[in-house]
Amino acid sequence: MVFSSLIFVFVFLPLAILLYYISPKILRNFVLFVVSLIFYAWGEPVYIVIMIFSTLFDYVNGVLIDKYRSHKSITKTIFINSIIINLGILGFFKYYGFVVDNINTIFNLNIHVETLPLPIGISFYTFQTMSYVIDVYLGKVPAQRNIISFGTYVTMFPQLVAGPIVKYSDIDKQLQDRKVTLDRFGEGMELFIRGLALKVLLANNIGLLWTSVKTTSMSELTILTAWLGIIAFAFQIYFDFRGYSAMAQGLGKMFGFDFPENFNYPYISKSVTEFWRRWHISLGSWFREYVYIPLGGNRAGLLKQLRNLFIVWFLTGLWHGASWNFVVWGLYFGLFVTLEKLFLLKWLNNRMRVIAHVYTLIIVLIGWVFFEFDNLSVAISYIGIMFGFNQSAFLDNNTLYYLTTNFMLFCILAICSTPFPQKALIYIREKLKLPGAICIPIFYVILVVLSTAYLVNDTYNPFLYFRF
Amino acid sequence: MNQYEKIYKRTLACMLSLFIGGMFSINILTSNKLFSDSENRNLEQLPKFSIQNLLEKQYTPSYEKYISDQFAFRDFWISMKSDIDRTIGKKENNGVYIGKSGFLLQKFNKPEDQDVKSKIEAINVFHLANPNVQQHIMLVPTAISILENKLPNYVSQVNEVTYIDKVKKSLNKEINFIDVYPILSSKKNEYIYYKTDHHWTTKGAYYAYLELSKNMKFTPNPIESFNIKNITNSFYGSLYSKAGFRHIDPDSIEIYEPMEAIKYKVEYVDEDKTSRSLYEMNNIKKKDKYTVFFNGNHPLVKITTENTNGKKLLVVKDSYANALLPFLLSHFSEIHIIDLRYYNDNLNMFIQKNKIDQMLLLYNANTFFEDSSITDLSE
Repeated sequence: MVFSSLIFVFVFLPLAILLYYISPKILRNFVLFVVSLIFYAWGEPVYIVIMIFSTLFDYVNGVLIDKYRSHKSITKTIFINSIIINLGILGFFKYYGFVVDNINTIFNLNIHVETLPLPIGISFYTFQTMSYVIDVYLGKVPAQRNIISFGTYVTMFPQLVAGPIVKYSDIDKQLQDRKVTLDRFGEGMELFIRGLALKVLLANNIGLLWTSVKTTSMSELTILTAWLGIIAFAFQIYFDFRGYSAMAQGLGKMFGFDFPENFNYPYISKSVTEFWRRWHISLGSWFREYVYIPLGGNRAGLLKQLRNLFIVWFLTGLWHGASWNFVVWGLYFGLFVTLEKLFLLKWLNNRMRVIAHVYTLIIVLIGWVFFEFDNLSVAISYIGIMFGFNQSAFLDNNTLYYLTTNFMLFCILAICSTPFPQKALIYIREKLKLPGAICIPIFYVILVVLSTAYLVNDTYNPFLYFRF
Repeated sequence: MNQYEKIYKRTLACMLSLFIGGMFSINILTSNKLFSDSENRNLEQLPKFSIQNLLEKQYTPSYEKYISDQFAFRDFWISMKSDIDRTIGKKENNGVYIGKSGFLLQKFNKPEDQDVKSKIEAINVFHLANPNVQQHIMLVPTAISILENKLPNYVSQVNEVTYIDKVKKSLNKEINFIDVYPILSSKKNEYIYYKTDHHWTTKGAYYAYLELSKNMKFTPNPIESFNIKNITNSFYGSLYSKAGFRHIDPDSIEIYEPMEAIKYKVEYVDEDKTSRSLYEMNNIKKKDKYTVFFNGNHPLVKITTENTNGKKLLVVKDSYANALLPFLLSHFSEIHIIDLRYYNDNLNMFIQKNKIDQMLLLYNANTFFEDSSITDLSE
């Protein structure tokens, strides 16, 4: 079940909230746990077993590490065992086919494997349970002895399928005690509806343009169409993901949790480094905290730092999918982050801001080409078209058609990529006082009404007698 | 937090809960519908739960479909969506363009070269197998080619006419290709295609009939000899359903009744039914009003007229022919109409048995390039 569906918004959500709010405080974790299991089982009636196993396994590991705290070697064994099993499960489901394919290519073999479909959310919840075991091992947090509380943390449906990746230390206290008030519920609703609108009204809509460009044969693309296409994709993936994260945060708030921000207007960044501080923040900070810093970070000399950067960006890429193009995409960003650390950032700081913005956007857009095409040579010829290496025309009728029919949408998307709309809403609300406090909610009602129209339309499926 | 912020959050909480909770309740309270008129299909009903269904991942998708199919005010939401799309400048939906002056135009999909080849091959082979039958073929361009000026600005579509020409060039020279593009194009300011349907109007078919008469060498009946009857002004056709755009004017349907009517008999052979009329007027009350012509499509229809010239015509066709066939009655003694999509018997045998002397293959370009049953000709 995805958040942006009729069944979630108009059936699951009202029922879950009703159940949660009428339950006494002491039962609320349990209610949330059960509701989350139902949510997951809805999409993965079989693979739910894996999630439950992960939960139980790391619950036990946490308790054992705590119990044998004084025996270094025992805790270390438990810890390493836990990491191996967690990564093993993730690796098996996500990277098994990929690894076998590569072995086949390298050794010219023909091993055939049946790859299993990827369990929903496994990349996210594995990282969450791992963060817990690591933090307990390092003594940063006490072990959670209540299985319900721990289960709630791992399976909590708001962030289960697409993040943000909530570190155990972020919500340790909230699991025991959290405030559920009407005000916070309102904040949660605001975030949820905003996220829904971003996903349904913006991301899905501009996605149509990208689909259309992507399916055009390369020989028919013009320079401008190629740019429009990848810009459309950049907007699509951003609003899709940001929308989803906002919905998760909003849902979290309705149940009394505060999740960390996942996006902070990445497209207004003035460097690639800044972009990654603003894009998928919870993933970046996870890799920083659990990979980069444990490897020594930047404290062990330049050479080691470069190695660490390489590892982190390699893994960041690979995390996004079991295919080399994601690795290339990760390393590509790693390269620019490294260059910026070495000298580029200094250089950019002494230039006009617009240059830094344009530089960042171009690097990011080219990055999306690597992200979207799993075939590297296709990606490279697409980039070739963007920069006029393929003798493509600059524009044609198709380009103009895309441009005119999506012009308004592009304007809206560009504006919504900046903090401006959010600031404007707050400004109006505060300026108008009481009328503002009543009118802005109406704006949100309009958003949810429009989103509903698009959600219903997604299922519009006329049966036509085209054969008559 | 100042007091206004508090009021704001609470208002927000209440309004949004009211909307979501309201829709939730309405959905529970409204009874399930069985059929959607606007989508012309049965709606999903509450699926039966079983553990097996669940584990095979069949239960939850059906349930989600049930929720969305039964969602309250479904048609209202859909029309709202298409209104927003139009407001922000979108010009197409589901492969249908919304053109100027309310015209809906269906995209022409580029056919596979191999498919085109095998169709041409089939027609040529069929011709060789039936040397005594004079063969004509008419591929009618659809509205998107003729009403180019109605397309949204800058649409660059795959050129249907080049594909039609390609067929024309590759056919055996003894097959007479009837090119209706010039005459239709010269009449493009008249009402020759429906705005909301993928068919041509009776008027469009009449112009094609004039072109046909030149090729088949008979004297066409002049337009003055018909009593033109408007039978409906509220026809919303297939493109209207497909595109989902609302607030579009409906079409009207005309039928051309000859003033000097001749008698004829229509036999729907497979259905074992006969009729004294080409029209099924009851269908004017149905959604798909184009079916007033011949009550839709049939595998085989035989028309016998009181004409004594002894000419026997076989028409192999799609639904475009339905509007044109009525014009042909006064020129033939027998007209046999075959729709290959539903007809399964051998055509060569049919021609011999019925002593056919002329044959017309009539398709609109869309069906011709998309439907594979045309290759059945050579079987």
